[in-house]
Amino acid sequence: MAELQTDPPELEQVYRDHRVTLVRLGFLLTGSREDGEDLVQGAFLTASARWSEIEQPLAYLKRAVVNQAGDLHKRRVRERGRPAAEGVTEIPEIDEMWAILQRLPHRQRIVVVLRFYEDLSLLEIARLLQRPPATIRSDLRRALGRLRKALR
Amino acid sequence: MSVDDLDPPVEPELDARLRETLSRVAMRVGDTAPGPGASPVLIPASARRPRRRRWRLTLTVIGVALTALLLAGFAYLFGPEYVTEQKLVQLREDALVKGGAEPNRYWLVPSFHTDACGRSMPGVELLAESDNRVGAEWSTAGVAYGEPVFPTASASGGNGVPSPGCVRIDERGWLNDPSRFALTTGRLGRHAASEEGDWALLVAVHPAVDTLRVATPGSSAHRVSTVPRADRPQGPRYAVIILPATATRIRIVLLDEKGVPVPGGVKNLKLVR
Repeated sequence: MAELQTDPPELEQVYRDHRVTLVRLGFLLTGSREDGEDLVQGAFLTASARWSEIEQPLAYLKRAVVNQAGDLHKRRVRERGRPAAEGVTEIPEIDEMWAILQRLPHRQRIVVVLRFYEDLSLLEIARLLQRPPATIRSDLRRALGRLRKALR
Repeated sequence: MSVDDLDPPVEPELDARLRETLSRVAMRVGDTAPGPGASPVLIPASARRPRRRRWRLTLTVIGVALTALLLAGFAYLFGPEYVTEQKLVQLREDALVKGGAEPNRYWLVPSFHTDACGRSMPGVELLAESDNRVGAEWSTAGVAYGEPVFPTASASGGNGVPSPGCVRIDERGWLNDPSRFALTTGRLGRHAASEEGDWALLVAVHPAVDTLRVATPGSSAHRVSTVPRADRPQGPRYAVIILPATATRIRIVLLDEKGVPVPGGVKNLKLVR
């Protein structure tokens, strides 16, 4: 049997206000809009179960999207190998950089997205990912090295 | 020295190019644009993963009825007419959705039963292969879109108590509100009372609802297309959602043809064993 439960009004409001923002983050992390949408739905589902305990909803949802993107990436790799890069803007230099970003190891891509799209500091990224700051720095340094090499 | 002090140096050109790339790519996700290559999944989980367990459709009669009423929908169970080969073939040909693998296939078919007054039932029924062998009694569950209007005994001179049988489904009020939906839940499992089987959710939605986005804790969300009955292509739409037996919560978002959630179209359901 199923019982219908209604989201708290605040959650509905957060959903309306931030869905697109979160889908964009999910898209950058996965390279797929559909996966981005799915990540956001999963994040809201997780959040709805403990909404009253969440002090910073947007931060919580972003963390959920990032964490679920990691899980999804592992599954995708198992199922069909690394997904192919997809040109999206029809601006060659943008598409080139996007393709390079998608070839980064997933952990490094997450750090790059959070650093240069979300504009988070190393410490903020470390807190969000619950990993040591030194590890984040190492991931970022390696990612930048790969990007420089690919762009030569 | 703080970690921020150790922020790896980035050339201004690379920094700018990264920011511009990520920003431009992100902006490709608009407020209303559906994703490219977004391919709504007609047959959900059960068709996409191997199934080790033999299943059959089992439903708790009271549970289903209560669920449907609680959700302001209309659900029903059918028996005890008997399955014939001819009818089975016809139903399979007319199926809106089919899924599973032999001998555990299932079909979502236009309702083919009649009510106690001899009128064709609206909506759709879920027909499970293992539950509907030739010669056996039909064992299906159905769902219809709209407000059930039960005749009362007062209509025939009684005391106003709802009487079973000739129920009528009134779609008019629901058609003004795309967030309205009807749901029937059941179990796919070998034993009716075992509660070991996967969940089967039959959903009836507004004609504007093109897709359902379905999420359960611990697994990635997926999409399920809705489909109308062939005889009412502009009418209500239907879908069947199969969930793992262990699922306890589900979030369904009703999406229009552009992939945008309809107002009020976020539904959280608690699946009660």
